[in-house]
Amino acid sequence: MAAVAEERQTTRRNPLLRELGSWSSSLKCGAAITLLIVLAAVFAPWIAPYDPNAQDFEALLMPPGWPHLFGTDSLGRDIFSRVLYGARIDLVIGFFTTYVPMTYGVVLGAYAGYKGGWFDAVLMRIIDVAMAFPFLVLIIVILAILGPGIQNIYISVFILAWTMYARLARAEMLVERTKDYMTAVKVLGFPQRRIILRHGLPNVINSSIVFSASDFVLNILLVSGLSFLGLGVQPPLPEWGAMIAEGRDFIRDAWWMATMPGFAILATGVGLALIGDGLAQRLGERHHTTV
Amino acid sequence: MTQPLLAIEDLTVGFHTPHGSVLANKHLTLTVAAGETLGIVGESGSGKSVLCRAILRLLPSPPAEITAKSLAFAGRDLLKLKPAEMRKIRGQDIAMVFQNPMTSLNPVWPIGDQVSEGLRIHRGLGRAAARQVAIDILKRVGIPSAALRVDDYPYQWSGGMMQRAVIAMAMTGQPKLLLADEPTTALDVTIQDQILSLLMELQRETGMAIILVSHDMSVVSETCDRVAVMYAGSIVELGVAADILSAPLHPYTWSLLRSIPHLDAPTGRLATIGGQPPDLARLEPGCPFAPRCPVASAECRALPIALKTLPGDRATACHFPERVAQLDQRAAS
Amino acid sequence: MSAAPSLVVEDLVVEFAKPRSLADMVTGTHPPTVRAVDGVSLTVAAGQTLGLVGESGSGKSTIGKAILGLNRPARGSIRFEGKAFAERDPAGQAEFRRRVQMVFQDPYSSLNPRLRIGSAIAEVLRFHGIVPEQEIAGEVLRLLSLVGLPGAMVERRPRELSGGQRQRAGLARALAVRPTFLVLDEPVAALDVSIQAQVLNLLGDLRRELGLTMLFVAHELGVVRHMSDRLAVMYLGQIMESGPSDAVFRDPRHPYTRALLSAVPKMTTVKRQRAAVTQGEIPSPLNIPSGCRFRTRCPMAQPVCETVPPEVTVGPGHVARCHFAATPINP
Repeated sequence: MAAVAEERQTTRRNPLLRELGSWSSSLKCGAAITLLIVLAAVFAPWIAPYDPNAQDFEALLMPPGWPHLFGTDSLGRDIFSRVLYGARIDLVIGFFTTYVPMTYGVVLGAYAGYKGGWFDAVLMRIIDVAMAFPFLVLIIVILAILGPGIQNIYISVFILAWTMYARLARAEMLVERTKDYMTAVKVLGFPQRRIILRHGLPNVINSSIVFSASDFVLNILLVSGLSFLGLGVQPPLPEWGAMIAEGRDFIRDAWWMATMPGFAILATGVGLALIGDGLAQRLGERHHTTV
Repeated sequence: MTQPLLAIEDLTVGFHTPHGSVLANKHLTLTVAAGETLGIVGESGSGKSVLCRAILRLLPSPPAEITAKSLAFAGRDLLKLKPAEMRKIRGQDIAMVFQNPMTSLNPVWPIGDQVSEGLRIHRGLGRAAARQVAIDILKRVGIPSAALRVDDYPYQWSGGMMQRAVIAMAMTGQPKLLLADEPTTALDVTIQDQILSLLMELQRETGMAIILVSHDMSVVSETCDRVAVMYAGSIVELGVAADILSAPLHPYTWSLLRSIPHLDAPTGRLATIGGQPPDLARLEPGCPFAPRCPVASAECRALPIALKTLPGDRATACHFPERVAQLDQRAAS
Repeated sequence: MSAAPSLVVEDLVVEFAKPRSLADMVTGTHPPTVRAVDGVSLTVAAGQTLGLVGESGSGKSTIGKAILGLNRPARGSIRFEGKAFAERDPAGQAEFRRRVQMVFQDPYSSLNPRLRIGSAIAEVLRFHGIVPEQEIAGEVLRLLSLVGLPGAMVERRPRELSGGQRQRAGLARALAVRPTFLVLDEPVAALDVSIQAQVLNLLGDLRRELGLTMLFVAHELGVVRHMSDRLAVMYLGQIMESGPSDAVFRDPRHPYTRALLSAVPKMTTVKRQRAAVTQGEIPSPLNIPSGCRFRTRCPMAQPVCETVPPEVTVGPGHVARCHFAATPINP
């Protein structure tokens, strides 16, 4: 028993290290890649060798090399700097388009799963309708009404993207609400809001968190795609998708114009996918040990 | 005694985990004679289910690692068989019935198909013949109007009927040994009663041996010839059922028998075993029961245990079996 | 039976229906219902324990849940200390929630996996204002020691506890509001034999020390016998026999009670030779037999059992729902 107590002591001493030590390799890799990209975004002004919008007509369509690591585009702008600054735009877009809808989606889903009845039935039918159409088509329809631009992308995503989270949370709540600990707090006379938000929500959020990692990537791709179609971020802002769109016309002569931002999207995607994967495993395991 | 049907000698099953190796079965030695019923009693984590799976080599390796001097079934060492030979043993010579009938049947196929599948594989029967035999076996295990219900799906049946179907599946190979892992734990008491009687009738008819795993001493006492009591991966007591249940020679068996609430005599307080079953990953040297044993002494905590053979076909792993008598005296006073 | 009744249930009927779809709500149709509990009346005297036994599908857990207001009865009344839940004002309802608590079967799902044991109990104390804020930590420790858990458990999460420890923690949470009435739904069914005895002893001690009244729901007759003053045997949503525990066990008057008792495996030195005591299975509650519900499996069923639902008194406080309950049993 003494040995056990001692072990607890030593492992308790540094919870951060202990936490990191228990991560799987995919979680570690994903976290490292994502951290790198976040740091690049945060420190872009210090890292970037050039102003992302500075045009240099002496150096048009330079191939990757020195001093232009990723080459230059048709206006002589440094692609490396633009990719760095682009991370700021894309990560922010990814963050808001993922976590804002997730927040209310999960809450709505949790309520629907717990309460059932009218609220649930109506909410689920709304979700069915929203999910019956391809996501991109609905977004384009809304943008066609509201007009292009990043603000309107946010609005259209906020209108639609919560449905997936609501579905996931509802499905988990249907299982969770039958568990005895949820009944116990009901028997203890706790109000419904407290039961759902404090006791239910933390236990139904796992699959949404896992899904959010891949959703993040999908949303960046979505906005990139919309920018590519001219509905999203407007030039000259260095958004990755918009940059690919600009590079399309030069793909035969200057492959790097479209490829370099493409790599950035790929790296972000891989990083977040690994995190999602690692989280799924980890939360699954935790879940498993409690069962 | 002639050659036993199953002879296990020094069987050890380890599981490799990230936190080190855990021994779920430690140096088990036991035999099962043809036609007899051996009861294996123990609490969760005692290793009784692992033993069944080890006999059939159902444990995935890794993480499991099985070692034994011998694991002989009808004279053949199961550990030395090729996977294809082992598959012939499974379901044919040795069959198994699991605890939860709901998960032992595949929900997407009709029950009749699942019963006749074994007949077609093991006995080489044609489709129509297998179906007819399946109906007969279902009838035998007590499914009313089996011919009409043979095409039902598992969800249409109750838990008790499903367990009958699982037993029917096990009987298709005409096994010499049936491993029954808590076959009635998930069932109601009247259904448990029916299933136990059924198993014993089948045994009388076919002469098969049964290893019945259970946490319930009473179930074992009604159905078994011999009993092995397991604790923390070891057999702590082994012998003829009536002897062990009437005069246990291990403090764990003694305490277990005392802690069951009885129907006939309402007692004030139940005898309890203090503490918790040990964590198999953190076993101390010495007897694993010592920390909870009311008559343990310093030697018990230091000396490793081994199953000692006693006169009268009995064995105990207790260093001081004579101390069980003290427990009786203490309880009487 | 001198003590005042703590809980009186009269003619309780609980029905379950499939959830209504949106189409059902719009058209106003109701899916068919199943009667899980069909006309149950029972009384629990203050300080006593009523054991409710039956096999799965008998409706015994549903009664426990109905008492706690977890499902809405279709008919009948449930009065705790003379008052039905619906008759209470909000303060009275809050008081009911403190006075009546529940202990669950599955120790693995009865605690919120994300809350440490200490915070789970503290939350209850805080919410109901049982003790002032500065005394909460001490009260948590007192409750833990009451159920035999060391104080170090405060910091643990449920997954770090064994089944028996979790069951004790769940009991501590229920006792935090200082209830007088406990509904125990199969509280030891999921525990190992050696742990089961510990928890049963603990429950016995608590009942004595805290003067608790209990409804003890279980399928295991030995356990119920050990715990209960009075006993009610349920089958297909109805009470088949009820009376003082000793009387029912010593002299069971209903064939179902007798079947249950003989089906329980006994400690014996002789291997069983007999056939099973019952044939067949419990009928579906969607298709309840006419007359006496047990007649389809009853060894002594007569034509009258098919038509007339029975009710016979066989002794002081001892009732059996069988036409032949009063006739002596032929060996």
